[in-house]
Amino acid sequence: MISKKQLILRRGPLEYSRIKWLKYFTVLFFIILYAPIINLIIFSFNDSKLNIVWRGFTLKYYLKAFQNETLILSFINSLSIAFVSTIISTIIGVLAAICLWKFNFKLKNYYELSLLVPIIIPEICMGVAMLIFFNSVNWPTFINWPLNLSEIIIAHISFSFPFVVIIIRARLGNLNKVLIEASKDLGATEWTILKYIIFPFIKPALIASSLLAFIISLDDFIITFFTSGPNNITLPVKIYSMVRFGVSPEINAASTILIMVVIISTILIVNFLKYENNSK
Amino acid sequence: MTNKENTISSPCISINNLTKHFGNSVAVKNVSLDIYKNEFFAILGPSGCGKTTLLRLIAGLEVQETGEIYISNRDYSNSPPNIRPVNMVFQSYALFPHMTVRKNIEFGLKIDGLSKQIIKDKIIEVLHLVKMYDHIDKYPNQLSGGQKQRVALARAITKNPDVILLDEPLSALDANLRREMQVELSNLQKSLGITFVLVTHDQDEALSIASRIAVMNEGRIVEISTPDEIYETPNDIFTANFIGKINILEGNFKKIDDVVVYETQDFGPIDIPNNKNNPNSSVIGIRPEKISIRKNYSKKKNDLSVKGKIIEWNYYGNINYLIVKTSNNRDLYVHMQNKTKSSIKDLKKEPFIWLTFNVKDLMIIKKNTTQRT
Repeated sequence: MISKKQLILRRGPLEYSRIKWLKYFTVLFFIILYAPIINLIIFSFNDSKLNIVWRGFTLKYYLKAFQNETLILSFINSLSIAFVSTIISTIIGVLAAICLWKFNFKLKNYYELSLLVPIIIPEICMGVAMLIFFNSVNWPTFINWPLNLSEIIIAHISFSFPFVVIIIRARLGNLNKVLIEASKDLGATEWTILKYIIFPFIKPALIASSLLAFIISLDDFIITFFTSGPNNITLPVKIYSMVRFGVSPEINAASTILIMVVIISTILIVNFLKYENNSK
Repeated sequence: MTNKENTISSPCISINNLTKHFGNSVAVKNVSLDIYKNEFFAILGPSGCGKTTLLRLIAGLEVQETGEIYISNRDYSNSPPNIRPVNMVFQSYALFPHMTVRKNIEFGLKIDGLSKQIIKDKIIEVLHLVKMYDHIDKYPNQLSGGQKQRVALARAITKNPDVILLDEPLSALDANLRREMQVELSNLQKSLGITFVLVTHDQDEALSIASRIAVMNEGRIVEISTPDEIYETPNDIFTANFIGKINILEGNFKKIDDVVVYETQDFGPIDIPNNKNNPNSSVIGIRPEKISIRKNYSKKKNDLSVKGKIIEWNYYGNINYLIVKTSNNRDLYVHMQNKTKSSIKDLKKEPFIWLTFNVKDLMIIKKNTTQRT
């Protein structure tokens, strides 16, 4: 006969809904995780130069941020870099994914593994490598916008396109090859198959992966820091340089805007992934 | 398509020495085959015999190592699938999941560059033909297996190909629906006048709907014949064993006074009428349903009888599948119709029974699976 105490003790660790203290722990975990971010957002509306005491609601610092020309310029830079690098890395990524899905070639496995290198390599190493690379090939220093962003865009493509490849490759793995055979049998050419069968099938993954590429480009700091000069800084780099002169609510405001862009993009990704799962 | 009737005897598909390996294993070996216009041709064989590969070679979905494929007298040996005048109905239906029934059928027609009105008419016509018009705007995941099958069939028919290839199209359906679809397929083929090539492992399906059957084993075609010939007078021991059950009567051919007889342990020497095959490499067999069960020895001319005891009963309502042990300790399969209500009860009372069959019903079959090219 098992005693009452033993009955309770025999719960498995995964029966978390029966364990009360685990619930409190979860709440605590979320507080620690989100408190700094919520704090940052709240104090961007604080009517005080210091981030310590609440002195009333204001939009003053948002206005100030929008009037800060270099801040706005860096934000425009960030968006432009993210936009261009997303488009290019999505195109390259889709082509690479289709190639890896469709063909078998020598050392294919190693090629697929090599795609992970930009993802797993420490960002600081990647940044230094990029810096040395652009120096050694004597990459021209452009003054004019948008050519002055070329180095950063190239660097961003190099680490964001593997994400596109991996996501689309995974989606294509679910595509039933009999469908391709059936369309060929019905007279379709390769282009027709790409347009009417493959493309509609990978569309959700395509949208999700390009949004992911957009976000990781937008919020990258380390690699961008090493590849940017004085005349082409991005928003994260600008925020970093502002922090060095003390944290003002203006920085809170700029950060909040960046967070909002990223959160909205993430919500879009999640929705598209949901759609993708439903349409299987 | 009007000249189809005029050229019934000319081959619609002509295959020459086709060979295909997958790695080291042979899938199709040296197959030569003529399929005629307006035929319902079945390729029958156990799983892994290469029958699906043969069909995919005809469709162009696999590339052969050697051999030629002629379709309607044109050489399509090296053509990609999209230009061959054949359409396939896949085992898994292969309907496009993101398209409605209408779009699925439209897909093939659009490629042909037909006008919008003609495409619309053709879709409506073919959907009425397969009784799926009510489901025109549904997606494949809203359809049952049988309905998907009909749409897949409609998608192939509407392209008006010279040949429709069916890759085990009914294997995923339940037994009743399968029988229903078999009849419909057969009627459809007759009314359309298109050559159908069916791949199946189901012998009943092949026998009931095909006009000719090719039996395949280990990548080779063992025998090609009409359903009744393949069942009643198979040339090859593989065919005889694969299609239906068979009792092989062990024995040897012997020449006694210029007459060739088959010497068996159970029945003594049997004088085989119309023995055409080379006797030395042949055996004698009898189908289970050709054997009747009696209470007494048969005295009729040409009848052979042996005493036995029923050792296994398999009751199927209309029919009994029995195994009878003869006095020589040999097991024979016997199929017995339940002709009266009391058939079974009467039989079970008997301590032993007599098995009787007519000599004319014996089959002479080649002993070895001789490979034909």
